[in-house]
Amino acid sequence: MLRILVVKLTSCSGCINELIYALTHSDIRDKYRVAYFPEIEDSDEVTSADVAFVEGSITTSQQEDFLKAVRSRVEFLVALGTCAISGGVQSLVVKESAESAERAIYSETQVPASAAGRPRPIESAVRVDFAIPGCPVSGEAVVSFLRKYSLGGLPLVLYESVCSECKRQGVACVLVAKRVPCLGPITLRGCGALCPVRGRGCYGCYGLKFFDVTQKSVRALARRLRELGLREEDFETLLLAYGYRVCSELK
Amino acid sequence: MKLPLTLVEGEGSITVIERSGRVERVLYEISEAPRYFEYIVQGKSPEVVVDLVSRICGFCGVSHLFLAVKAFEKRLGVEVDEEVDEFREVLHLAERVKSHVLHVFYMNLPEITGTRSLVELAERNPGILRRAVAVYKLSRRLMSTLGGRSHNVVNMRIGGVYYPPSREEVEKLRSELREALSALLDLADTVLSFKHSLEVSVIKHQLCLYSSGDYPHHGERVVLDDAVHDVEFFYGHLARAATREYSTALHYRINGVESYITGPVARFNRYYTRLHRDVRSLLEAYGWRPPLGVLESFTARFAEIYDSLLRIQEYLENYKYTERARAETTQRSTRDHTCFYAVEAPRGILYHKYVLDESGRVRECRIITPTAQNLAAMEDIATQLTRGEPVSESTFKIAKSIAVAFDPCISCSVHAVPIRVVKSTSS
Repeated sequence: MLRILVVKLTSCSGCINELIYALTHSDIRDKYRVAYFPEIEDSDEVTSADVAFVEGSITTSQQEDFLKAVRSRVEFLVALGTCAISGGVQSLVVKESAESAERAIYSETQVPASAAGRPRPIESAVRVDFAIPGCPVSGEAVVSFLRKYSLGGLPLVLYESVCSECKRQGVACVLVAKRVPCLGPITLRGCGALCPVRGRGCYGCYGLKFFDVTQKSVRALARRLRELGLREEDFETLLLAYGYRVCSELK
Repeated sequence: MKLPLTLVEGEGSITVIERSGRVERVLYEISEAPRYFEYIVQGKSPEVVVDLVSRICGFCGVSHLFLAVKAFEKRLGVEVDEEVDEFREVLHLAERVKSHVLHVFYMNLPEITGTRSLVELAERNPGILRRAVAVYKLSRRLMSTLGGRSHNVVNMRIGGVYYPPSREEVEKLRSELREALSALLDLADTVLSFKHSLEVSVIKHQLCLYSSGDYPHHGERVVLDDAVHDVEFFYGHLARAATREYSTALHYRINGVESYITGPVARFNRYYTRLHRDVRSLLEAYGWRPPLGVLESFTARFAEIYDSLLRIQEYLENYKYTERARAETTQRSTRDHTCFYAVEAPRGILYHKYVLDESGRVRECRIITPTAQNLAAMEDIATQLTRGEPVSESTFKIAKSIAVAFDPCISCSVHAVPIRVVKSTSS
């Protein structure tokens, strides 16, 4: 039996719910034992284990220390979802600069001491062995990881955009055929083209395609989307919300 | 003394303040870091904001999304067909089912039975896990067929939805729903036979959305005890918030003094007669009737799961929605920049209020979550039950039972600290 830890940092619990789903599969329950998952397991002790799943970004030093302790107890660490990988939508607070946000905001009573802090991806504190993208991650991607890991392998990472998923499913390009603003060309695959299948443009929730997108290509798409009615600042908000780290490091 | 909270969503702990060895006060320390959503959405277009706020919570994202969409539709003068609204209501009911199933079976039952988890409970009774999973999976299928995925659904927008599922897709759901309903009824015998070992009947005030017809769902008026208030007045003048040093979440009280509960127990107690007839006869067969105490919330949740599934079933049986939603937009006076709305999220009333600027972007935002409202009552009830007793393991046990029964949504409750923005970010 492989032992797993499920850790939540600053996030919404949406991605770890996909782990609850994955654990509804009896073949997965046969291979994995939950050692730490406080949401559904009445135990608060972090023991050593085989795999840790981490949801959320780091916003406090306690979280960073906790994460490092988790890292030292596991063989393999998986970043689960956009917050862990890239900071998550809460990173938008950084855009205006966390300091100025704190200066601009004051509480009616007081800001709790632990409230301060800018969201950081977990890779800024620990080594990450595998990342499952998405806001939220796809439950099937988590299932696939757990099945393959138990056999000594890992899911194949496909370096493709959402466009590849539209093409494979035979979905007419919403951007070209329907003139709907779509972030698909610069967004990581993995959702099954959730939005274009429904006639909606992709809004980028799997994050910016980090491996080959450049400032130039992003600007080119931005121009086209503006012609189709997507405000530039909305475009920028979407890129930062779902891919803060990649977006801020674009060359 | 302090003990971490488990079997709840998010990060928190129980702190017991003692005076010469006896309990003085029980506090729920919410240590989860805030994410400043009210600040984040400033300067953003409503179309972007509705999807951003759905990220506040992995349990009740549809509630945030649906509510924001309704609020902005009001502001923009968008009239949607009844058919469209019904579709979105059903999607929201599916979320209620999903959230309640997770809570009742994965969090509350292990706590009541003193097991570590549902999986451990299932070692004694394998049928529970199998059937709970059947209902859980159905709720996810409902959400992904109607909404695109099991949370942060993509199939809802200001003015309607993007894609009405085909009749074939809905046909598949109907047969799965029938199976899930039969699994749920098989679970009734287990769930509805539980009696919590602790008797708690102390609830001072109960709040839910006012409804003239159905079981409360969404709207603009609340009912506190027997008084009906406009929702904006209630949250603007009656419910007052304070932060606590030990918590990153807000604590709401009526006039800053008296605590109140919102959520399934409050809804059940006030609107029991609006539940489906089959639901009431099932409950009464097991001796359940209003009023319920807070520790009996599992009964209210079970009733709401059953009621919601019956309503969803009725909708799916008569499903004929094929036309793409077309929203009528009427020009509204641009002086009216404020909009607000409320929805009965799984854990109680969720309220959003937005103020837009001249260019139609969000200038101010206020979000009040169910858990932020329930926190004060949780502390008051736990304190009342233990005050003056010697501090012991049982103090924590009682405090934990109360917390788990309330099903706090900690990620939700710390969406923000009470902020007042002096500088607007939009230019």
